Amino acid sequence: MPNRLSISECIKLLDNREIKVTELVNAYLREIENRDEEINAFITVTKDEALEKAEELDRKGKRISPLSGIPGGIKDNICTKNINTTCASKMLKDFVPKYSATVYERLLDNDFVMLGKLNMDEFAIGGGGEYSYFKPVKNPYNISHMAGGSSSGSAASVAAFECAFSLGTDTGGSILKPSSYCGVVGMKPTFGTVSRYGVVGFAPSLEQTGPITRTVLDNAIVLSKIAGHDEKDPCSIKRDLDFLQDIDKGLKGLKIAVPKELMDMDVIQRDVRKCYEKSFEIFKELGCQVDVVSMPSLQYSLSAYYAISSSESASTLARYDGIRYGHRTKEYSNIEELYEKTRGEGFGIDVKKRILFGTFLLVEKEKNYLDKARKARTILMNEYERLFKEYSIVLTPASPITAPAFGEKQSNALEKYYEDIFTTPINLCGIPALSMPVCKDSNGLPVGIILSARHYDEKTLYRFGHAFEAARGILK
Amino acid sequence: MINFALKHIYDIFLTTKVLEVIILDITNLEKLAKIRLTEEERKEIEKDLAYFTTMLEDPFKADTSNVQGTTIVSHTENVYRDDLVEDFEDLLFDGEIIVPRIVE
Amino acid sequence: MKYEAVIGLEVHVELKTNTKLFCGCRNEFGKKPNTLVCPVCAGMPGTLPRLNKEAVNLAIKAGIGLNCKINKFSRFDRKNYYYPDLPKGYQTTQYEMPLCTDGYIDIGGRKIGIERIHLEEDAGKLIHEEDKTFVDFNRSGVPLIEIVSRPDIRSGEEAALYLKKLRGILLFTGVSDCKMNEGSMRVDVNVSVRPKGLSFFGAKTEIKNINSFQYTQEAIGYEINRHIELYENGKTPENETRRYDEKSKKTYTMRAKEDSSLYMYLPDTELVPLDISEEEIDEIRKKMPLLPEEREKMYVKEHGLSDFDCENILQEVHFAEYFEEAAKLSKDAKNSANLLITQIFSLLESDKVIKIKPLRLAEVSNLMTDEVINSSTAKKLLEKLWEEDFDVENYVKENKLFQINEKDVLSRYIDEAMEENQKIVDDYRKGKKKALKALTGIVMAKTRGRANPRLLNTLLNEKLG
Ligand SMILES: [Zn+2]
Repeated sequence: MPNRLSISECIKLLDNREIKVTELVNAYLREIENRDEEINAFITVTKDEALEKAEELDRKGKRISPLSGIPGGIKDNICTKNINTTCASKMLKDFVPKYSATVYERLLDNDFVMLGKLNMDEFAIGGGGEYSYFKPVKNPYNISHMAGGSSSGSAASVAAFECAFSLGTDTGGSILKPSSYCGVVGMKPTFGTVSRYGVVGFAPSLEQTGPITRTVLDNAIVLSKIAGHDEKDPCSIKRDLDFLQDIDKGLKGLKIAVPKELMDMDVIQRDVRKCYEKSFEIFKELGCQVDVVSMPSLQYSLSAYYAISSSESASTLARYDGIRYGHRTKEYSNIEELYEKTRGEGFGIDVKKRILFGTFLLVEKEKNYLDKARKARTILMNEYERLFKEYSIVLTPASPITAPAFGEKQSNALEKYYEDIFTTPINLCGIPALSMPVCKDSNGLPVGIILSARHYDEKTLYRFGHAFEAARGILK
Repeated sequence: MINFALKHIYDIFLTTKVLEVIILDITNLEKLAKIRLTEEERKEIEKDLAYFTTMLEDPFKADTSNVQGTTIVSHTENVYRDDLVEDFEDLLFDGEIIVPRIVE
Repeated sequence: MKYEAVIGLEVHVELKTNTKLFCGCRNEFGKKPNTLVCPVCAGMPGTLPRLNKEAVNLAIKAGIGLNCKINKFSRFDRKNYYYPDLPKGYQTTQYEMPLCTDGYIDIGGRKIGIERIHLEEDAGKLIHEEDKTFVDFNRSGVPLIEIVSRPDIRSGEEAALYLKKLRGILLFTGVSDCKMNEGSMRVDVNVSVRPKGLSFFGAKTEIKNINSFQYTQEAIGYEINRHIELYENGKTPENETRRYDEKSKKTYTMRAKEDSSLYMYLPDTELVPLDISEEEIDEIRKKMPLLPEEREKMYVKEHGLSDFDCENILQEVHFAEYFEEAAKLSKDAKNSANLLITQIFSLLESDKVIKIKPLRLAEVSNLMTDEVINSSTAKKLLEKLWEEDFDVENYVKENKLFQINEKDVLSRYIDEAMEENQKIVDDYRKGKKKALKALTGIVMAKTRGRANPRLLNTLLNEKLG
């Protein structure tokens, strides 16, 4: 089954003409056909275009890039010219952009084969994958469990062998968490590394697009092709893009920091803790030093994250007003009614919640929570900076729990949001992080860890990830 | 299964003292955000937002004197474009954009 | 009781750039609706702004021209509100950290403070019909600066003076074309009235979108009187937004004033901050053109122009440039200025284009200075030059338009005129001094306007005795 191969294996076969692009693409399309009715990873499958492209590449024969002929899927908040880009929302269910996101254009320039648009939590808000207007994404390891969000389809499709790789977007763990729930490798790059242009976000100061793959090496290969300066994104930076240079160097003598505050939390599930601690052992065997350090400011991150992301979302999602495109309510007698009904009908409950919370923060002037949150953000950044002077990476679990089951009633909002305690500090500080599986819990669900590093140091994350992956062996 | 975590969240991440609960005027927020909620949605959101706001107190425990707030983790500034015309060739809208009559 | 008005002006000015503030769409007025739009200025999902360097430069120029401090650090914020002409649901503007602060305009001895100048984007336009409203986004994203004065203005006259000065500076720095009829300059006024000598602010009314400086002056005058009248009757004006009706010359309530604390502002994190160096500002400072005030000083000192001359010539940049070009070629620049203002300006059409080369004005003016032609010939020549260009000296030669400077030749014309118009001569001698003018006219007509006016006057006086 060629769709079980890693990208690096595919590259070899394609280079040696041992497999045709058409065969590879067909294998993936078959998997989608067989499996996606259950997983719900895709919103749109671009089958005809994929086959056409595959045939074209086979005819041409020449491979212009490692990604040439590699089939991938794109999260449905990444604009794809002339292909529906719904953000999994009723608001944009018929929206067809007349422009493309820079990341998508980069992939096209590399001759990748587009398989389609991936399901997600509406407007990338939410953490479970159940808040899609269309259908909930299910965990390929156990379909009664969630895939995690918001890049739920991106993680599930790769885990289910429906894509060789996918692109997700991450605002507060939206790549890292679903990757861990689905047992795949996800990268949230340094802020400014991958262009935000054409990516429909909700909190621009926190967002990055990144690859989800089945191996660490594959991930580095994809990131190399989507990263790079883009003049269409004012925050885009010119930086070193050789993510593979250190990948085989081994880990001897490198230092890993483990935050004491997180170690102490008994909110972490027993199996998660076991796997987490097992990862220390593996790293030690690889020659690393694992130190427990104190990061007291981590306690502010959830609060700061929700304040900042919600306020930005209230403003960023204001453009969905029913005037120029997207959903417009059927009946209205004046402009106010047009707005209120359109937005009331077009957005799902989680999006509304976030917008209203953000609106509260924007009008609340007395306590100035936002100002405090921004200051907490600075304190947190300083703390990371201090740590990274001594340590190569910070290691945490990906989530305190493994993928929750559908239908488990959560009695309040906090319960759902505490899942993000390990991921939100990463976005607040704009540092890169890699999520990868360690082992499975007693229910057979994957357990993951997150490795984070200083700004621009993705290559070190790949170095750690690659060595860890080899030492850990196949996930059983 | 998930309930076990809640108490600890309060212990670790929130102050243990009784928090003052901020009463949000949700109908006012609906007006400002131009979102009409159903009665059911309003109930759910009201409850969740109350939790959100208790969480907001966290950073007040931090010593933020002499700390500048961070709005963006950007290592760039002065990113400009030259004043050159780039016409968008495609038709952007299908037809005219019409809204109910607005009286100034 | 004596009252004192406290007036502040907020002036929005569209910048003279090729393209919009955050995208490459053309910054043009009067095009077919929604033809100058792209995904960015239409607020399409996922699009990002890209800041136009020229807009920043022009805003800095305005700041320098208005004696402001140009802030090293500034940033863009979002002002969130819903309106159909606002595609993103927020206006990208500078709220907390504006580009320029603390300037002033000198309005003839008194300095009117400028609190801030910030850079922002314009909204689209609504076109109202009977039962519906159309939205046009051509203007959406056009770069604006908002110039906020301190409440230092005390009367409608001062406001008009401030606006005139402001317009002059913005025109001469090339920041904006300041066309009120096209909306590239828009004026909002804040008026309150308080008992003289006290420092508190009275109830404030805002008058929005006034169409001319004249109307601004009138509206303020009306509003001040209205406030005083209310206070005198034991009432207080409402804090509200009003509009000025040009026909009735009155202001009317539009709506209650928005509570500005309800505006939701937020730093824009799609854009990065501005960090403008001293060198950059100096670079712009070096390239600043002469401002109207500096030009006025030069005109007075070097060419002996009057205040009236200066005010007329400094109305438009191209008038000033025209005059300066002609002055260089003129033996008597003051005479050229007179011809420009009295003759040429009367020929202007609504586009204000001068259809005569500055060189020709100088040629005509020089012939006058040399007493080769007189002023009525000059007038005719300029009217002719308006239609077609020609070499002035040759034309004067060919058409024998020389001024008659010879005493005997002119005497003959005068004698003829006096003979033919005995009644006028009698009138004059009876004491009707006006008759002299009539005779001058008759002699001028006989000479086809070529008589040396000074000589004619002397001779006539002699002969009439
Ligand atoms: Zn545009």
